[in-house]
Amino acid sequence: MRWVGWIPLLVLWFSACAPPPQVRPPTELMAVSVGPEDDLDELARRHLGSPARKWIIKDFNQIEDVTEGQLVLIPRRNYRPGGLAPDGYQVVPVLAYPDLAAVKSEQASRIVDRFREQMEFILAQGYNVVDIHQLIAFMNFKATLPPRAVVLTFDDQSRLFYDLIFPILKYYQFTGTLFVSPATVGEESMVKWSQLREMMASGLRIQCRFLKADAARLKPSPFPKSARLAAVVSSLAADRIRIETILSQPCPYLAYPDGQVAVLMALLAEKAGYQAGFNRAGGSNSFYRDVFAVRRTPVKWSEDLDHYRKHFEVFRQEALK
Amino acid sequence: MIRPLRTILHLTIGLFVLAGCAAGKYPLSHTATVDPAPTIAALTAKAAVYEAADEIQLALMCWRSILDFDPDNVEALDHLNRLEMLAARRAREAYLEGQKALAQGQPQMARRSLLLTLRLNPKALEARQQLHGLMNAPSFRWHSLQPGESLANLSLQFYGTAAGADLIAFVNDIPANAEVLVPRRLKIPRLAAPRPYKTQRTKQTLARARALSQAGQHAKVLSITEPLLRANPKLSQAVTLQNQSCYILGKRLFQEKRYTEARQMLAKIQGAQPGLESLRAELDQAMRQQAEVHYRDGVKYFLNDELERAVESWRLTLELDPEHQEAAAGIQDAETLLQKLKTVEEE
Repeated sequence: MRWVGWIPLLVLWFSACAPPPQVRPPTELMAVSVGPEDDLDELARRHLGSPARKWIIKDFNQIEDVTEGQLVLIPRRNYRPGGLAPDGYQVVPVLAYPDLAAVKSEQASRIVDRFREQMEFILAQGYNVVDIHQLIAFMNFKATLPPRAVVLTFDDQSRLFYDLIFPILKYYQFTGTLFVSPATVGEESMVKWSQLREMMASGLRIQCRFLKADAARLKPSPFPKSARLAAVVSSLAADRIRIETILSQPCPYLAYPDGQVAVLMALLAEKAGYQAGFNRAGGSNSFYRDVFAVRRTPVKWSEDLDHYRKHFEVFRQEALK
Repeated sequence: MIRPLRTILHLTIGLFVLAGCAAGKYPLSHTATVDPAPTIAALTAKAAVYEAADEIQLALMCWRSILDFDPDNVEALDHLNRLEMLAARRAREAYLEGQKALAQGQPQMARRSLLLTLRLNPKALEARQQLHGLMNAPSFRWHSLQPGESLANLSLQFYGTAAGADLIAFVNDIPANAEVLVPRRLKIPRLAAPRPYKTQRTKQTLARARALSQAGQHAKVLSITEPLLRANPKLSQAVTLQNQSCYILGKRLFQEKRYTEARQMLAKIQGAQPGLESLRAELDQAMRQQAEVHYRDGVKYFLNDELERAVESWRLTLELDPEHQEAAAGIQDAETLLQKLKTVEEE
């Protein structure tokens, strides 16, 4: 009968093992005490998956830095959908840099200087360069963006981009999206697939570009024949699949040709399996804008800062109380 | 030897039991990082700050997070209940304001109200869809196929040319040469400039105008369509209704020989209207004939020295035929004579 002495202990053991009825994992906010080795980068890496997301801790706690023992709250979900605030709402400028292919060699150094100056401006003014995918999640009401968010895009597949611009983006650790037409990748003076892969590995996103020449096939305008419409849709879908296959990454975004912001483009893009389309109509984007008509603001490589700064509308003041 | 081992075993199990009990009180992720009491205090303080700043959703997040630590926290439960009700009430009020503004044709006011609705209740899907619809020109419109409609006449109806039939077919995955169309809803791409948005109230007003038109009350139709078109000159259904009513009223005035009014009425017609050209031709002819009658009356009066009546008749002539040169000259002559007579009389 010695075993009888074990019964109370076993009862206690099983009751302890039973799942506590009132316990649940943190649903929305995680409370974290800052450790001796912690800084914002480390906290963001540990709790948000990437140091680049430290802005979430800064924004939610309204702090610039952390100190040991400090309690910080880390949101685990989209805490400000649409960037809506009592005094207005967030809008996001998407800058569109043109093709460098037409640039003469003597202009190259000036372009590099200007672009570096522009990136320095973004950094100094506290703008946050975000990925195009984050922008679309924001517009779909699914993600909060950092304050003063801006997106950089390049309608470019020239070798010059890889040689001149990519190193600067890499230096500033800025992400960007390169819209390319896969048909000409690898041609003379054009970027190669291996270089696109390298840029992707550094955080750039490679997406598809609808060339003017493709758009010109849509004839007679404005009512092209169905065979031509079908050919353009097939070609767009083929471009998307080609990029996805070669780069092993999704390619859901399409840049429309210059000046072509017509409804037809959006219809064709959607039919070809894209999830968003980018025009060059200018102006910032609010969350409620149509994702097949995302506005991009054309920027010149040679633009001085007086002009450049005008593109950065990041918040629309409006009493929402 | 066995007894000490047994004691150690009992102690070990006891420790496991205690550890198991402790683990049940707070979630592991929190206990590993923070002390619950100060965390609850910090979340409480943060919630108050957010509520004071009218950031109700963020305040709610804080209160809900307190329940992660202490599911029975009475203060948190009370505040959650109060704030959720407050947010829901304010969001509902803002949404209704938005609907009112939409119905009154005030898109900016509607936009602001819908934004406020979403700020207070991000799950208000209907508000988001309405905002999206309000602020983006739709890339297509829906059309329910009517018996007898073909791709070509749909294209004619929406684009003014049959050339868009291929496009409509392509967008709707219909063979371009399809002759018989299965009744269904079709997407009609909007290729023209974005049309002005149509509010619920506008739709209701148009429905009323249609009913009046069918009841033959065309003057009342115009009293509805004219203000609508002043606000939205491209509102196609209002244009159609107005054209029909103007035509019928113009024809009626023509039959009543109220030619000037008939012409004014027909002048309101925008674009094409079946029968309009022939009615205008008949009207012009009738007006010219009537102008001649008035002109001859004027001549008779003039010859009888009834100069004022002559001027009156010739003015009627010019109203009906502004290019009637004899009438214009006659008025000038008669007025000169009248002036001279007046001077003589004064002398």
